[in-house]
Amino acid sequence: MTLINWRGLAVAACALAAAAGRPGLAGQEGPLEGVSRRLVQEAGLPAIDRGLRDQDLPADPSAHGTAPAFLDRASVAGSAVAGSIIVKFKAGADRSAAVSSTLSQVSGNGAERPSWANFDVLAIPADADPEAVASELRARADVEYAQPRYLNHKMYRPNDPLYANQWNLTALDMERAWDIQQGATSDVIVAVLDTGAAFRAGTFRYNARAFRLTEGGPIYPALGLVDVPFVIAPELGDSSRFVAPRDFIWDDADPVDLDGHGTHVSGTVGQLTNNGVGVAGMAFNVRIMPVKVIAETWDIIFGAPFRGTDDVVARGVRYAADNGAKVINMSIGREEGGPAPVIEDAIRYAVGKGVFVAIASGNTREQGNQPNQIGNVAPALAGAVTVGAVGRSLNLAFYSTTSASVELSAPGGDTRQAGGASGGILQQTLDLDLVETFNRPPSQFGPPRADSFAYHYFQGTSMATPHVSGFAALLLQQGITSPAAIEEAMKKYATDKGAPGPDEQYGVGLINPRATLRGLGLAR
Amino acid sequence: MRTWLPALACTATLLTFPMVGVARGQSLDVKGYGLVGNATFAATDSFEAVLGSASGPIFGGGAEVGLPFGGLYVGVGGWRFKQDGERAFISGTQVFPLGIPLTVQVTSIEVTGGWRFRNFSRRFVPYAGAGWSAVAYEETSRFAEPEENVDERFNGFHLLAGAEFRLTGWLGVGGEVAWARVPNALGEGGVSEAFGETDLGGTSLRLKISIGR
Repeated sequence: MTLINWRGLAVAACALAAAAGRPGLAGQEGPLEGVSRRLVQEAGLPAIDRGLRDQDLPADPSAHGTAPAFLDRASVAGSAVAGSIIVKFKAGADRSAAVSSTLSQVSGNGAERPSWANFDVLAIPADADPEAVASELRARADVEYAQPRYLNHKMYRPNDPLYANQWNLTALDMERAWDIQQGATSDVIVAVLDTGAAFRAGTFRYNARAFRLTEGGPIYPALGLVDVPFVIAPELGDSSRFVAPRDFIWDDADPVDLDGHGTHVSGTVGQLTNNGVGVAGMAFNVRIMPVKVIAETWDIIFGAPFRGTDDVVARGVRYAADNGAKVINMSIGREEGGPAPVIEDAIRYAVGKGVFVAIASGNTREQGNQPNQIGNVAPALAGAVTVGAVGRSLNLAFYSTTSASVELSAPGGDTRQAGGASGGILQQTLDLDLVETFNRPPSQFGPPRADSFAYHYFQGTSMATPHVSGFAALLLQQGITSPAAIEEAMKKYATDKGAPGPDEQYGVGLINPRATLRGLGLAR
Repeated sequence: MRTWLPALACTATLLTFPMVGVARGQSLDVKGYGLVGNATFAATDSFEAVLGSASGPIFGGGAEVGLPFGGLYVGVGGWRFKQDGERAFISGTQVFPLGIPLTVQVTSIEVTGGWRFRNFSRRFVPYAGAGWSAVAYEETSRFAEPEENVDERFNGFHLLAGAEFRLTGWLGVGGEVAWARVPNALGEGGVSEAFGETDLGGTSLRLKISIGR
């Protein structure tokens, strides 16, 4: 996982954007008002398959996943968004009175109850410390919880792509597991809460503002209105594969992927298999619900109205649970900041509705080893698991966070173990060469393309988690319909790793799909 | 296990021949029988989880010899239980059938000694007995590697009681109830481990048709 150092980002945004002004296209088409994107063409040309990208140089971990400096520094306090906090009032409290009283107490100036939320987002003074305000409100008798709007992000590490096979599926004995359960069916819906997915065709028009990637770094010019083509990832299937898409970053029903992470994760869950093309996925017949709750570089450059704050993630979880998802994959999270009761509450809600939830444990083992805050709920909640990563040698990946919250392990890739760079997890996703144009010098910088795909190796607990989600889908299809029983089954058959018994490195152990799917006979 | 049945048939056939001249000219009472019945296994939860029921039909046969010492008799017989079901996962007490076909076969060979209460009636003869049981347990399922199937043997004991009604001098019908215990045959894996059930025994009700004296 690449940590996003929001505080370290240079901020030239407002002035820079203003200086850059709106490009000429604005005069032709009219400026984008409000949300700065617009669907300008429904259909798209066929996807471009650029094949296996195993000769690319490893991406710079500090660059990949870095938010551009559009956000002005004042909008971020630590890992939380300034100017607002999340509050849930206790059941039975008079909400309007409580809101008024609370706003008065913290000098707030507004409250909103977003969709798919059982909490309120309160506007507080921009210069107030969200942590302090939340702490103050937690002392109130009518408040169940209050927390800052912490920012979440995807959880993978870029890798050294030089390889050509999916060792991860072999390591899990998936061939024999698929003998028992052939990729589940379309009855099972897996929600992928991520950066979106390449799930539809169309052209969207965005307004690309000027930005800096790093403090003191070069200024990337405003591109003005740009048309970005999108196509369904060929290895994810056609439009019938996707159900109830939702974008909480752009607040609409088009969670297109401008990053590649969500498409890669979706591929591990359900990449088309046995189609003679590309690679395989764990549960290749499920339907996928793309729910975008993470804003990445292009979203921010384009001025997305929302970011991946805890409240956005929580709404995504609730949305997925309310719209038919049976499994929720959360290859996302954050290590900074405090607990996330709003997300924990949402995960409990989802599990209570019969949804199994898999959460990445985090990639910070070499950067302080802080666990993913949103995974802390899982150990105490039957039906939600936190997932660590192993490499090709099936040893703990160098980045995989160790903590008491790690419950299971799955292949996440590790370029330092056997296979080196090919030790990542290979799936089809956006061709990063054509997406991450912000990694080029400003003179070569241009708008992204989301209609061109390649097979990329990624590594991270982000990559381990969809193995567990796909596995859960197989178990659901096989007949284990309770989230708690799915977790119990996974743990019962997990292959113990590390010290005997559960440990902070591997949790109970490495998932064992084949043995779990076989279940129990009478005597064996 | 399958080799037991021909041996059992041979034994039964031999025993049904009247043997004359034994014990100072007295003939032994020898008869063979076939049986149908219903067995209910003690591992109720385990059988129900996998087979849908803890009971099922049994078929078998055997032979008995009435010794020239009052009502004393000895016998050897056997029966087989075979049912199809599906593998399952157990969470607490909740059973999740997994749809993977499975077949369970239990074969029991019973050597019994007992007493016939002949003075009760000439045609109606109650009896009771006890003895040793050799039980073979086989479990096969789809997608299993050979070593993942089960073929094991266990020892146990049984008690039985019943009555026979002589229709003619050579033909009788009867019914009996048998209770068996086969300890430590289950419980080391599978759903039986989840339920903590170790006994492969149970209770069976049997209808017997016998030929012989």
